[in-house]
Amino acid sequence: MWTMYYDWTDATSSDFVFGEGSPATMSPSMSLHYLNLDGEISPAIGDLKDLITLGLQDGLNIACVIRDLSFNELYGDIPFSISKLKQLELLILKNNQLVGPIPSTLSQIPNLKVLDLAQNRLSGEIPRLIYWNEVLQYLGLRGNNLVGTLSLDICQLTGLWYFDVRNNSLTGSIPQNIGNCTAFQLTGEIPFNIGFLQVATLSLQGNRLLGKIPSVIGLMQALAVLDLSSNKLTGPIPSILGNLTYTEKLYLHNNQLAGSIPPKLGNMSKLHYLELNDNLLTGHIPSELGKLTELYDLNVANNKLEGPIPSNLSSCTNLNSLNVHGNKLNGTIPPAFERLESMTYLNLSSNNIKGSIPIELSRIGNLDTLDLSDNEISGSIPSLGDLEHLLKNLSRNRLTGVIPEEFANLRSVMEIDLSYDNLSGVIPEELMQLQNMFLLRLENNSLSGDVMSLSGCMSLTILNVSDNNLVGVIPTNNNFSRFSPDRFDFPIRILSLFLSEIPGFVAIGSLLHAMNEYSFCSSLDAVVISKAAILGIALGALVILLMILFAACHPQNPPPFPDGSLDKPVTYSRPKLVILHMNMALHVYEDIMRMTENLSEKYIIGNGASSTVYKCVLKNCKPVAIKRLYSHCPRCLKEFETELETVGSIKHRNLVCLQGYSLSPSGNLLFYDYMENGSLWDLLHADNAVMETVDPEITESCKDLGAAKKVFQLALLCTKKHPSDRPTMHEVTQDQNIPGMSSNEENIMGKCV
Amino acid sequence: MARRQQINRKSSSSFALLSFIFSPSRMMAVLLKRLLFFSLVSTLVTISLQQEQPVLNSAEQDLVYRVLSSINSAIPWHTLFPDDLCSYPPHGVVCDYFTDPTTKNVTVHITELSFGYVSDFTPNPPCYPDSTFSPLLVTSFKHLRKLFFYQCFTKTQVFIPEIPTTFGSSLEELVFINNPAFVGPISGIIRNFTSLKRLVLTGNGIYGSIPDAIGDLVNAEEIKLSRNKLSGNVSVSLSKLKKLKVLDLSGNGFNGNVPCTVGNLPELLKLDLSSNGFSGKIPESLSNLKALEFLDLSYNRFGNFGVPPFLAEMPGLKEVHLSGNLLGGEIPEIWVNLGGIVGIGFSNVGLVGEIPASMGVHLRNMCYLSLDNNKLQGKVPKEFGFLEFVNEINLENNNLSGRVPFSANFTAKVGEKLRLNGNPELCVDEKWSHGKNFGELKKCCNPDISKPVIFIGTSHSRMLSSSFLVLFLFWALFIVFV
Repeated sequence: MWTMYYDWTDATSSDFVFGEGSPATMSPSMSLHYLNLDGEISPAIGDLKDLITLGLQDGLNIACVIRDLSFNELYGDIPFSISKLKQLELLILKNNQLVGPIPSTLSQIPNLKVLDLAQNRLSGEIPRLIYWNEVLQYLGLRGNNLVGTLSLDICQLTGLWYFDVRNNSLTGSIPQNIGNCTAFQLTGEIPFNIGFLQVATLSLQGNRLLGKIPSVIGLMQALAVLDLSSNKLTGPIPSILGNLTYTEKLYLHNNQLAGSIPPKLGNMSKLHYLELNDNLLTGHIPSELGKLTELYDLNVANNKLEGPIPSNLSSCTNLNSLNVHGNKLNGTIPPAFERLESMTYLNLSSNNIKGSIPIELSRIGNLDTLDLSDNEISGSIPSLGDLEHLLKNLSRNRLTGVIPEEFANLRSVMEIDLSYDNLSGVIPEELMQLQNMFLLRLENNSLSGDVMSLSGCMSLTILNVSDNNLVGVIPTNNNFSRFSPDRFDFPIRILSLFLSEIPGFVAIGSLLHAMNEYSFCSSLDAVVISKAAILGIALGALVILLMILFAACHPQNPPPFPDGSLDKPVTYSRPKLVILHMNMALHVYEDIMRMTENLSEKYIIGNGASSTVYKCVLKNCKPVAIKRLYSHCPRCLKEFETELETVGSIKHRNLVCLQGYSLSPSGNLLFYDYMENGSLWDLLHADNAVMETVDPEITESCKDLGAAKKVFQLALLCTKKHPSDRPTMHEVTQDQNIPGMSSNEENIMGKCV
Repeated sequence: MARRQQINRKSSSSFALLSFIFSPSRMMAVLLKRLLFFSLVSTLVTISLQQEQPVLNSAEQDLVYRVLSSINSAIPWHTLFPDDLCSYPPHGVVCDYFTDPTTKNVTVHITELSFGYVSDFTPNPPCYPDSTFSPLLVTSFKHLRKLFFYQCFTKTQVFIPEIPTTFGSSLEELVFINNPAFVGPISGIIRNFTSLKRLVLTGNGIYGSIPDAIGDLVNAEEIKLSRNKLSGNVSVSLSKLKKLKVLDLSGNGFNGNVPCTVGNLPELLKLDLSSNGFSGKIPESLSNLKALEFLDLSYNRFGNFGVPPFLAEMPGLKEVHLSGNLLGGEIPEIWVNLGGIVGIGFSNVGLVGEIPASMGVHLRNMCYLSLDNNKLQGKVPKEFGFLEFVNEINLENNNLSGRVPFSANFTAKVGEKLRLNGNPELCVDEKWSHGKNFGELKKCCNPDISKPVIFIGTSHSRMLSSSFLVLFLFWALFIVFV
């Protein structure tokens, strides 16, 4: 394929016109994305047809015409003349400001394979005729203002593998017969060729779809992702969804689904994400969910579930996050949870859970958030000494006893909330060691003694110890000097704020928050802040609010499109870690740097011509291979990123999974599955190592190890950078004298690696 | 069992390697590296077979190998796919189960064959420059539902083989896209395909006229014969296809009248007859196509009968393209019920008279209006300036006169796509005449007294709001500092 990049950055005109001022040798493949182009797409784009036709008459084999205009400031509509481009295969106009309806005339482009109009301001209905295309692979319409219903004609897209209409204003129900679409469905009773199916995603999230979930979706065996979240779906969860044994992500949250959670969901053996939160579900949490050994995230928060938390959830050993907040669950916390070693987030708050906190929880070494608040938990607080990074909330329970000294071992803890319990005793002196803690709430307990021990907590910014039996003097040294100018008598009723570091008027959220806290304080007659200051803060906030309102409403400056997704250009202020695989969820760039000691040499497991590979063990104890690319090409960055997102979305059993990537100052990082067996180069050099590594049994059936080795060498040659260095198909199949495949092995390796 | 699968998996991954060699793509390098890495260290958990399955009988399996070799003889199909082709098929080969109603025996047969690499996600067997069309395809697969060729026959000419009348009783899709070297008469292809839903023969070398046998495709929903070398009259038997939704005959050499029976297709959504040699009158029966959304008759030789007034009776229309026909006449006043229209292409159709203002009144959803290269006279209707979604108006090369009645806001919005050049009597207000698209237009001599109200109102309110903002800011800051 020819790919040429025209440098449009020097163009003086704000509008650009295809085909008119451009050189006659216009490339058949043109990519103009992310060059800060603005202006309209000229109707003259249709004139390019001749150039392309000319190229074809000259006998050039032009397979592809790419029209990639994403990430620019294009506005206006999609020009109607674009349908004259009969060779057009990729039309990518995402992240622009295009308005108006999608023209039906796009159906006149017979070779269109990728149509990506996401994140524009397109309106009107999705024209039915664009579904009548046999080769369209990718239809991205998310983030527009499209209305109407999904037409059943969508079944005509027999080649589709990606369909995304999230964040539009589509209405109506999902077509009842969508399961009959060959695009989505695998026919036949037994999925004998399931292994060869590519990932299929059905994502209808964030619309206003009504009605029940059609049972027929349970027959769409090819689905890897089923996302129906944030709609207005009603009725029960069809238990036939349990048949989707290859589905990895099931998102049904934020609907109005009722009934119980079907126990058959326990058959979805590949499930990684199960999100059923914010519905009207009743009944018990089925213990069959314990069969989901690959489950990573289970969220049933904000439903009306009852009964106990089934203890065999502890069989889900990969569980990383469990959230049952806001239900009516009772019973006790299963001690068997200690087996959930990967767990980092456990939220059982706002239920009716009784009993004590099992000491076993302290064995979940990765736990960094524990929220048991608003339950009926009693007994004393066990020492949770081993949990280094915990952020815990045990408030509003019936906990008794003292605050254990072992809390001091929670070196990285940032927030502790023990309010509204029945704790007694003193605040242990050892808490002084919690240098990272910024929130400590101990109000409404029966604590005695003084607060001197907290004076060493330099990071503390929010402290509430009101309604206790504390006595003594509030220390004026250290951090406490920030809280209040005065000294107080006993019993201490303070609520302290840290305002000095709120930068100016920027952090309006914090400011308003502060004001709330303040009004609470002032009702306690505790802290004196001058009325002028109150007035100043209030008016300042008002002014900022109004300014924001003005800015938002100003007609000439539409606010930039809020887009929290991966699509935003990279800013280098804080390197972004883009996560494409659940294995790496909850990690940020800083975590990776910390775990590898800023990509220290001791983590290197291999070197290549273009990259270095590091090994990193993640929070969930699983290793990942980090590939750091040497080359830096600022112009290619965006392309690199876009491409990675595409590659990252491919899942195939024969491919190493790309789990994430990061564009950081220390190089572009790619995160892959970690494979145990070392590098290819090593394998090819050691005698028989290849065969032993690949398949120990193969030596029985394959007599000619030399031939097998040759295949691998051939595979290496096929990855050569320059096409002319790669063997031709003729050479491959004739199995003779491929250049570089001579008997001189050293020579080959020298060229390959 | 486990060992057999492992061996097979490796063979399939090496096939993937081979197929990628033929398929240059930007992602190829990345994919290849990953593929290679994996093929060496594949330590995946094997997918266990859930139950005993019937396998493809060896005769049919052998036929598949022969067909694959005819498409691409360079790939050792037999070596790469030694196992049951229904359990471990290359992409593009699909089987299904069939239960004998009497004996309850379950057998398995090939139901879909797709050739030609489409993308990394549809990596059908790649075609080779010397690919041939194996006659086995039309004689030996009794259960075939889909036959698909994409960019397969591109160099060496491949003639359509003799297709027996017994072929295709279960065929539902017959798709040939961009096979320019696939030549032969269309009458040699169409057989008694009573189950066929989709006939897509686009961008091939197919010639001849459509046979009457096309009327046998009673279940057809889509017939797309565009960009071939078809000729002659269009068969009247097309009207038997009551389920037809898409009919695309564009880019051929059809001539003669469009049969009026085309109007008897009640479900038709799209009718594209553009770039042919159709002549005579556009049949009035088209007004019966009540579901029609897209009508493209442009670049034919339809005669001097004017813009068909029956368009008024087709309320579902979204786009109408009639450009490049010498229709003549005035633009009729037919727009009352056509509020759904998004695009109108009437360039170079010999229109005379004035542009009816009713177009601007009723076509509230219009985005694209092309009336260029006609002989239109009179003023540009000021109603066009109030169309909310309009993005492209081309009125070039007419005899329009008077002042361009659009507000500055409107011209700014439509920008380059408001095209008015080539109208010598048209004049434009001084203040926004510097845009290059009005470069050829003369300036209006005496300033118009009735300036567009919108302009004044908007600028006034904007000034008001900004001054208000400044005042307010000042006041707010003042209070804070006090």
